[in-house]
Amino acid sequence: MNELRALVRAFCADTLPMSAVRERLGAGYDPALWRRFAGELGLAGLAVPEEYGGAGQTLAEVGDVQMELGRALAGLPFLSSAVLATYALLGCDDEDARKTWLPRLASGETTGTLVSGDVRVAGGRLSGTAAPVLDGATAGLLLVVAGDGLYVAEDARRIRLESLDATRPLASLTFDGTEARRIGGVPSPVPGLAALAAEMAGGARRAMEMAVEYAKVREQFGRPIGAYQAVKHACAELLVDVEAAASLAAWACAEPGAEAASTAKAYCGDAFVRVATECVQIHGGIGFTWEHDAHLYFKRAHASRVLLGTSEEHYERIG
Amino acid sequence: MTEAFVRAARTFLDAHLPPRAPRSATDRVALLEEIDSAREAETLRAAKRWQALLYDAGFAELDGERAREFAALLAEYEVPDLQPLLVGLHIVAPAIREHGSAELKARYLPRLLRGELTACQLFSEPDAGSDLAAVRTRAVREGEDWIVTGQKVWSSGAHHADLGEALVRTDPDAPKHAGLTLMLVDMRAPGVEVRPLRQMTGGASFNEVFLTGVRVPDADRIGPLNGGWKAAITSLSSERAALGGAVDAVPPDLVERLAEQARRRGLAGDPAILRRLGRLRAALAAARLTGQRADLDPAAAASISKLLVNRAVAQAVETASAVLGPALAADTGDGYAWTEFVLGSPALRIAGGTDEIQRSILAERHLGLPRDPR
Repeated sequence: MNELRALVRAFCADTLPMSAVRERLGAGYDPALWRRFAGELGLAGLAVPEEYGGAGQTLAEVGDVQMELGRALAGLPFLSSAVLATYALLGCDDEDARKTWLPRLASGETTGTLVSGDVRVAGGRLSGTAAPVLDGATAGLLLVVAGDGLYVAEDARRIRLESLDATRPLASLTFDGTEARRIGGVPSPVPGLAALAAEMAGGARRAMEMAVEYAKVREQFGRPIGAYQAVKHACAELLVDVEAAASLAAWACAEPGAEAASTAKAYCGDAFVRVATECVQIHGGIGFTWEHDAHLYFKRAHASRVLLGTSEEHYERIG
Repeated sequence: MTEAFVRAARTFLDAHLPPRAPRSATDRVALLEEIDSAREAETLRAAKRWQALLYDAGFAELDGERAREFAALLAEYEVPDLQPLLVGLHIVAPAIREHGSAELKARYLPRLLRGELTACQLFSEPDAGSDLAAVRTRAVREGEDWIVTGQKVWSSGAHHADLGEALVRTDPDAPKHAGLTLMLVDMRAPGVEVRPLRQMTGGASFNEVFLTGVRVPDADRIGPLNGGWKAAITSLSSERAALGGAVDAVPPDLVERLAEQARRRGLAGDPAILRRLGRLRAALAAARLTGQRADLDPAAAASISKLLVNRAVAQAVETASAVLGPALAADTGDGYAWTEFVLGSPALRIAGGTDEIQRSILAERHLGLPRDPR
């Protein structure tokens, strides 16, 4: 594990143990914690170039952070603000927008998100609804994809959505003739897909570890259940899924491109769902209870897999 | 540095190999290289010639980065099939190198690595498959020799091999792993009888080998007396690494060839077919990249990669069926070559340690789960 991952893992262990994750289920992230993540760790601006007040790192480092945040089921707005909004600004045509927003995203003063959905543009005004939007209820900067352009929207009517994965806040945003300024074309999906893949690979690894740890200690018929091949081979298959997901996520983050990003996003999503599902199964009845953490990973897996395009859409793209 | 290497490699390849000819959709697409017996002698000669050239020019044994660069270059040429030499190069030579005496190494290693000698494995027996340590072939000491008697099976290439790497029981009273010794058998010695086994593909690339009072000099022992299990593990791990790490069993242009078949059948834009092809691409990328991971224990990477290759092959079989339809079942002149691929696929899940054995290895050694009864 490299230093960056160790740093984020330690931060999450300290500030976001499962008890803390549970306390905020459905409530969204703690803004004070995000300011620490931005200020003390300097990670809100990880991918922001130094000239705009960031750390100037690449998607590979973004992937490292995501892997750890996914492992911890952290609800922090890293994917929405530090990846989607940040890379959209970096790729846009508007230097003023970069100068205005990147330093504020990097410092944690505000957060941004990328809004994509059924939104139209006419005469510099946006209309329509986009849902679900990551951290859409709280983001200070709304970057909206409409037609063939990217817009900064004044604001939107925001409704927080009830969501399958209560660790990650989602919202519905409605625009009704909202003023907006065009800052560029439709942003590349690559950074978001690669970062989400890494997050899912990290979550899958933790779910596998939970299953394996339990298989070692839970005894039935006088032996640990992990001594029976039905269970131990299932665990081995989880390891195969987890390492394959890690390989593809690392590839997509190290060599960003459309094929790698779609491949990793689709594969990691499917792998995470398989691993989280088996994690519940290996735990048996206890895995189906609210008090056990297995369901949190199961929900995160299903909810993440359908973000930014389904596996089927991405497999079709690379076919 | 690496540029100089690539330049040297290209000069070498240009001097010895023709550029790769375009593949046609009707070319063979087999998982098991089954060389038809009429061409076998020529294939073996060509393999030996090519390996000697590689060895003499220093390209036979390359480390990770250079091996990858060289493999990438090879894709541009018509390369002689080294299949008849692979057991010697990747299974037998590593055990000799790691466990053999200086004298044994000097006698066999250069000739094996240069492709002058071919080798086969004499490991499995009718009653010792996944439970390899149950082998019953006996070796009894007689002066400076061993007298070996027993039956071996699944020996690929035994019919053309010069040497057999035999796992035999030298102490029947010791616990089963502790009474085994590894030795090199001269496949042309009196008492060695090789019978081909016909496979479900119709071909015969492996054999039964009957050993009846075969005399083996003690000087041809690999590693210590009754220390054969450890030496055999070296061969098995090397085999796993060679099979899994390289993803070599799968034709490199597999997806492109299936896509070409889809185009010929008007299925190029069919979303269901595109998804299958996409899944297959992803599965192959996962197998390839995981086999190359530097942060994974090499043994774990090999086992995981092997299981991933088999997942990918299963998807390729499903995709071939969806794309080809009835052309897979009868030789209508287009696509029937894929039957070879389909028929070879079960072998990959069995050879080199079954998928089940790989899962037990991963669960026990890498996840720390309890051991299977042994």
